[in-house]
Amino acid sequence: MISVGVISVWEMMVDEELRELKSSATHLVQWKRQVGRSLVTLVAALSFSAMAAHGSRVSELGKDQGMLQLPYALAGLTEHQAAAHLLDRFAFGARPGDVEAMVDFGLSAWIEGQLEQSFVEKELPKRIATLDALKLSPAELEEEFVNPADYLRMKRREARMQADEGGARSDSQNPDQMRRAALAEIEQSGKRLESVLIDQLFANKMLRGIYSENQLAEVLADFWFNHFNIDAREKEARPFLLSYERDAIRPHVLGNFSELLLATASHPAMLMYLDNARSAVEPGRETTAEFKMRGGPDSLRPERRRSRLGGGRTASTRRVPNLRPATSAAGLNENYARELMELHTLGVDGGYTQADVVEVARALSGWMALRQDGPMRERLERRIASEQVRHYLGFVEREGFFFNAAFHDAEKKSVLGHDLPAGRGIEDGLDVLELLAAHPSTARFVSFKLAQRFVADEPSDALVSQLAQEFTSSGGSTASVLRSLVQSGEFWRSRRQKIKSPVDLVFSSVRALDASVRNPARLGRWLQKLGQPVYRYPAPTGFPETADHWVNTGGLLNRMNFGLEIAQGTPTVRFSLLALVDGREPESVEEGLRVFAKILMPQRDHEATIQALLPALGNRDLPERLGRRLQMADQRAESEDEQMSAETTDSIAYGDFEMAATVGDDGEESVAAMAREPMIVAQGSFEESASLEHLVGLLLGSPEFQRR
Amino acid sequence: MSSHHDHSHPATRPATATRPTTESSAPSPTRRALLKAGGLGLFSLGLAGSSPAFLSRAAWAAKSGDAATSQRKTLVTIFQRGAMDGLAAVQPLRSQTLEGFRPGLTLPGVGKDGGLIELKGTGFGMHPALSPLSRLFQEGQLGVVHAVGSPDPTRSHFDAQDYMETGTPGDKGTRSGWLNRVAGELGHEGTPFRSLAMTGSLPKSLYGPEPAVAVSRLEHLRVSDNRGLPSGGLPSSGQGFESLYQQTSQELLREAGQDTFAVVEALASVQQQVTGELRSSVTYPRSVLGSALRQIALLIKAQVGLEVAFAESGGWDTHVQQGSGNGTFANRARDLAESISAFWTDLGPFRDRVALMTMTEFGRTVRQNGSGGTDHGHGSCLFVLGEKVRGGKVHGDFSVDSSDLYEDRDLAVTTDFRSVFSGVARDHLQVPGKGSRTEIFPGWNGKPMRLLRT
Repeated sequence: MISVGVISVWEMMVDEELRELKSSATHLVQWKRQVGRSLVTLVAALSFSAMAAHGSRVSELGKDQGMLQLPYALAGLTEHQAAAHLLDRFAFGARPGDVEAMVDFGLSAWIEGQLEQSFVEKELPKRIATLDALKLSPAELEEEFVNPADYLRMKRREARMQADEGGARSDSQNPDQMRRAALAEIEQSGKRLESVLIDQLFANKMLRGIYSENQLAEVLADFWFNHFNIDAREKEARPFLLSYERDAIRPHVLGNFSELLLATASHPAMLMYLDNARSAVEPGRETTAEFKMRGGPDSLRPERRRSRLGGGRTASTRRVPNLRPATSAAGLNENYARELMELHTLGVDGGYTQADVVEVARALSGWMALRQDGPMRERLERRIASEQVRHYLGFVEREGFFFNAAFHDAEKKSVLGHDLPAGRGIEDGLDVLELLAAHPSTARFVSFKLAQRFVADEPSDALVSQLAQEFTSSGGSTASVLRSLVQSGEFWRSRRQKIKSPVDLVFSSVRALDASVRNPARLGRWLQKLGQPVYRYPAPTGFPETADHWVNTGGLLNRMNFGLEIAQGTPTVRFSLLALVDGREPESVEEGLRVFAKILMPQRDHEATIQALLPALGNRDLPERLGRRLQMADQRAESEDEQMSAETTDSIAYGDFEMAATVGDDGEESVAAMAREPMIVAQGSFEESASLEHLVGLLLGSPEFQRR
Repeated sequence: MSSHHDHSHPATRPATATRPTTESSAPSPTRRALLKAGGLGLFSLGLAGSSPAFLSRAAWAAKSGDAATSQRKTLVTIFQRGAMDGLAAVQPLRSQTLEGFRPGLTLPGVGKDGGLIELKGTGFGMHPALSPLSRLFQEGQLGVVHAVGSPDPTRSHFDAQDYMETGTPGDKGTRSGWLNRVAGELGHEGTPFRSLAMTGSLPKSLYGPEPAVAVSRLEHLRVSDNRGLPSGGLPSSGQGFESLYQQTSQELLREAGQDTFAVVEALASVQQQVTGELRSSVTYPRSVLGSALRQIALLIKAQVGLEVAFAESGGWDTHVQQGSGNGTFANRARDLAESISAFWTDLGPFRDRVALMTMTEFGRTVRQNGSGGTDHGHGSCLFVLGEKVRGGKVHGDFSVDSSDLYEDRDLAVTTDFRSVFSGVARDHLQVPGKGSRTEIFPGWNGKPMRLLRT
């Protein structure tokens, strides 16, 4: 919990503008905390050393901190099995040696360290060092990255205008020429394509998920992004997506739910994605700006200022200068209001009605995004030049978020039985978010989803109730809920009962192989084929969590083929099987299976897997020349290093946004991109098929490896 | 300004896992596996060796070529995710009321450039982007059912989609999909391609005890380095995986594994035809739906025993700038109509075996909203296509008079979607048995609509 002292520091960081709003103190504090937090986040994002400075505490705490009661023995697990289970659930799988390291460190201490995100990063900083977009502020991101389709549209408009003015039509290029010229111009201007932004967002997720020591935060970043899902193909949300994950999601993954909710609700990405940015007061209702005009002291009325300047205006024309939405744009859009309750907070059976949807949409009307150079900002500044007057009328502006007091319905509302009095502005929405975050249905819905992610597809009512209680009593703290979860018997009894999602599968495979990922785009292609194109889920629900969604004909084949393919190694996802066995190569198929099953699936019972595979493979000696072949493979990989540069520029799955944007903007999957997907074709003799790579491929594609 | 969301998948929410995921110490035979095994007397569960399974698969493959299988009727369904605005698709001609409700979405009149296409003798007009469908309508092969939908009032995409797919509005406990139950009632064991979804994951419509295939591209249905059958004597990854998935104690993985290898085998047996003589010369739209229908047509022509097929079309959630003659709605509508039309042409002589039906979770508000779009509503319309369909008609009671609106904002539902689905299943697929209706739609005792001539 945050102490009062800290709040007052943050209060000082926040400028005066919110003080103008006379409203209940609580949400103002909340709001300020949020604003303060996002400033802190930004600072942290600018320097990765922040993370290292923040943590190193765990190593001081050392083994057997012993605060948590972990009833794994009651579930029949050894300490080593319990550690392996934790790595399957609180992390994206075990790397070689992780189980032993955790047992040495102490399970409780490890969990606490994960909950506090206090592990010092080792591998990660250098892996993500080149992702420079992560270090830019939201405003800089907007400035730096350009959507080529938008740029092209602008150019075409300019060309048309020139033509209309009778200008020379000499440069009538064909569309393809124009497109290429536009790309060249963007490059010359020092700006970069928006697809680069998404590629970096994607690379960041992949590399953190695989290499971060603070694995729980990564599991939760995936969970919460998915809970508040945004589809990167939605082109108006796309420019804000990197900032959305970094500034709205990541700072709160283990923190307070209401802060997370407010951060998503006020982020331009969400405001654009679920259309709240287009929701405006219904015609005929009074807006906040109008209300303030009616009742406020004369000195602040813009008409006064105007009449002094322009002269001749009388009191009877005291109205807000024409700021109301144009008639064609007037009216509510219910989309966000509905999904806010259905998907983000209460759950579909959380007890709201269609009338509540409308009332919430009214309460949130005027919550918009304000682009740096957009027409909205220009119009606003032209019509109400004085910042002071804007504040007085209720306008709020903060890092891309804009509360438009001239679009907000200021009349009385009633949400879930709570009255919101007339005449207010941004407080309506803040109240609603607070109401929803604290609602018992939200506690239950969020707890259910956490239990489903961390425990079982169908967690017991008892567990969900227990977590919901913890959620409520902790004021919505995710860390507290997880502390309660990890101390439940159900958590430990659920070992191996979850099926990995494709993200789980890909991350855990790379981690199990201790592989070095040189180009995350390769992982993107695999994820797409496995059915989980990260950042591209087409609905606000996010990807489903349950096994029945992931396990089906076709889906399983893709998993098997993925196992075989990744085990071959590629120049951009590299590992050495020989290194994994310390250079001691197994001498028979059976030994190979045993040795690698142990490495890839620590603390599991491998007998069934081995006994199923042996008759099919035949238990014979592995060819003598295997070791030599593997060494050759290592050398081959070295020499392929040069090829890598070619593959690095290739970002099929996540780099083709601009293509999608120019091809038709209809969000259809690129069929051509999928057709380009390479298939491994049969090659070589039996000796090779029984090689270690082959055995490892079979293990990674095995049913046992699909479980966690 | 497009801002539609696809809602292409069922929601992540309180699990309604259809197949039990519980684990038992030893693999236990399921109903399905026993049925398969009973028919062939060869399938032996839990046995590590792989030859029995290969033999049984060979038997399946052989069966898919027999006469009865190749004559089977096919029902193709298209789910339009996101809720299609049925009033933009098919609307009453010259309705002052409607124009008053949605001035920004009104289309030019019949005969005008980009205007509505008159559906003769019905008083309705069709959106110009659907013109390929209007042709099929005039030819009498396509029928429209209007003001169709669910009796449940939900305006949640995800609930409404689930209700429509399970066939039980208001009941979230249903663990199987209506198409799966249709396949069960038909009772044709033994062909792995009976039920197919051309989607990355299995839609709720096909959840349930009958085997069903979900795949986005047929090319994905093979093991990378599978060198085929044991006749060659060499072990292969396919064999290794097959025995692994046979023995796993995780039931979901085991069952899906068995289906998977059966399907791989069945597809391999028609591989040559599919890549050769049956390859389509018809041009489909380059879209998810176009690609799905192209591949469904291929399997119908390959006569693998396909009975129920599922495809989907996304992007119908037109909250913003829906447009009239052009825009988001028109683009989606064009893709839908062109894909269906290409499919129908492609089928050629196989058309007499096929019926196609569209569906969408609900309709949209009669009034336009504040962003040039429409919000979640209630009734919508659907299309049924087939040589025996009572086409050229707009079926169902329809009114957009202010006094008839549902909750004063939506097109009221006058036809329960179940009466359309059950009527089409009964009359096209000849779902047998007296009690079949209640088997397919438990708890419902409405009347199936007669949309096909029998």
